[in-house]
Amino acid sequence: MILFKILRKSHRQRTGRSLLSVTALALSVMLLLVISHVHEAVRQYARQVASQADLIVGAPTQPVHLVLYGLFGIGAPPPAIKWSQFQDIADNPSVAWAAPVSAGESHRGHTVIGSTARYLTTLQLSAVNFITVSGSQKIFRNNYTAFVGSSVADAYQYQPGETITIARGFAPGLKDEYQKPFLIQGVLKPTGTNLDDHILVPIEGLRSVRSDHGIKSDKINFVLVKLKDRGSLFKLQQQLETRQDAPLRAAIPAIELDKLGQYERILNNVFMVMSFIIGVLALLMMFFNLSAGFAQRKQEIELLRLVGAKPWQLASIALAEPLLHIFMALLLGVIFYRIANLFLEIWIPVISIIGLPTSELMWLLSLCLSGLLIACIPAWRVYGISRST
Amino acid sequence: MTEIGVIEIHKLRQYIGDVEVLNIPDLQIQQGESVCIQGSNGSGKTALLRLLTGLTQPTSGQVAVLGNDMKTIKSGALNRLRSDSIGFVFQHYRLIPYLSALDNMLLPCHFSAVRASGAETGSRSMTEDVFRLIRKLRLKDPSRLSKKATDYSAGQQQRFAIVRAVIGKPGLVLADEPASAMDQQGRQAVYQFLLEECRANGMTLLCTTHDDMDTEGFDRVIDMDALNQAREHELR
Repeated sequence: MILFKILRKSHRQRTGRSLLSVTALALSVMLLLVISHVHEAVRQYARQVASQADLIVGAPTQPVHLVLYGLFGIGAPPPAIKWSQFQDIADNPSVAWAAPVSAGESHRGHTVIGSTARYLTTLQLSAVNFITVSGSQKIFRNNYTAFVGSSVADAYQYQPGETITIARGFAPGLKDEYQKPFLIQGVLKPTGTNLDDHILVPIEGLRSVRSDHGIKSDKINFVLVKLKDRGSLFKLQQQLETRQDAPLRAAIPAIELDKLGQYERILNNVFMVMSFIIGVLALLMMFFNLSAGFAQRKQEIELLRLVGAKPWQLASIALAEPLLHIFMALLLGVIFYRIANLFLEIWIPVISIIGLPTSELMWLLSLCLSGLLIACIPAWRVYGISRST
Repeated sequence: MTEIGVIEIHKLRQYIGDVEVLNIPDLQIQQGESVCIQGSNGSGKTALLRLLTGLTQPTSGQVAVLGNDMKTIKSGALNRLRSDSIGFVFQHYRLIPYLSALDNMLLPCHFSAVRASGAETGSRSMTEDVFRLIRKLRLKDPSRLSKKATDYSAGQQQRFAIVRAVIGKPGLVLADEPASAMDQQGRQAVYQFLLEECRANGMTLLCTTHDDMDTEGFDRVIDMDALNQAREHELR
């Protein structure tokens, strides 16, 4: 009991400094967990989305560009291709479905995506406050409805039932504005990606208003393709890329994301190393805190030895304090991480719910083991002094 | 009556580095005896007490404390000897600053069942025994001992250190200038207390001091300057 009392009261004496080092260590634990979480969640989300479409087909361009724009709305829209090219792809017997995507129109500077319901399901987009389509499985109520991204809805306080107009291009004049308005059918749930800044309308409606506006060229930017059998993936890719009349680029999302994943892993490791170093610095701070009062503690050790304390008892006290700090820092770090997760859910909703894999926790385990080693140093010194006293 | 030697020193020499600190040809202190070692600063009084507690080792010669050879004593036996049988008052009292005054005084009882049982003998509890002792040392309100030890005056802290040394009635009390932080009245009270408490319970008392005034009442007064023939000491 007296050992516990000595530990408790001795620890209380250094509360201020201890709190500082525990908080620093807890923050680095949180940082390690948050970085692991974001890394793993992004990977999972990208893998999920990429698995929905086997190919993304567009005009000859960098395949990474096609995939990034096609799945996450990152970058400028790829160069346009003809509607007839989409039809050729859709008519290919190995294609299960093909979703044309157009990104040539805008509303108040926000990209208007024209596509089919497949686009929504492929990108795992869902809507809130939407006007349901009774009695059918259709997502769009009719050809002149729109789903607005959450950021767009927030910016202009758009509600389902209101109408919006769209225009050709991204810096349109009055003459570029289409006459036929689109009815807002729903607001898309936030994703934390660029897609929140987009507006989604049915491609058929878009083609119709273009025609009404006198636009003759019927173009789209890319096509999402799902194959009946993935065995024909490379064959179709080759076919599309070597067409004599108008060659296309057929990017395989899984491969392109894997290439990007290599860079992402390097970046992730850099962040992990940085947080690990912060953790080690926090541990060193803890160690110096404990060592700072060592002269005074030597006198305490001598006294306690004279009243009968055994070396292992004194070493246990010396070991218990940093171990307690590390345990508290771990606990606090996990609590901070949970709190940070709440913010992550708000900022990047698509990556919120995951379980951290063991491999990602190796850094944390290494940090704890380093802490244990560092904690053993003062305990060993105390044991040595006690033995010689 | 057979005299039992509590401290027996024969041809003791102790060096720290190249410096000879202690050179004591012969010293015996019997059980129940109260001895005051008086000597000037640096005469080796503290060095002798540290040696008797096993904090340091003799370089040569024989030192026996309560029948234990301090040169060959095993770690476990030294632990038991210290916790059960030796009460020590440091010159600078050395209280654990974050523990209460009461906890500081009860410290030996927490590490030794013998001391705990000794404290309970004659008092209802260990705490009661602390109150009894501290009252004898003229602390006005002994019930207010829950404050941190360092919150008290130097004189009071020294009293706590003295109580810590005698609680549980150890066989041997070693006190290194136990009243150094007190005025003349306080010093007299401390020495009187130590002498009374040790005599009443059959404890052997070995005190050191540099002041002639503190030697009154002891069974024997030893001149450390004459006892210790260490070269360094002779040079001074």
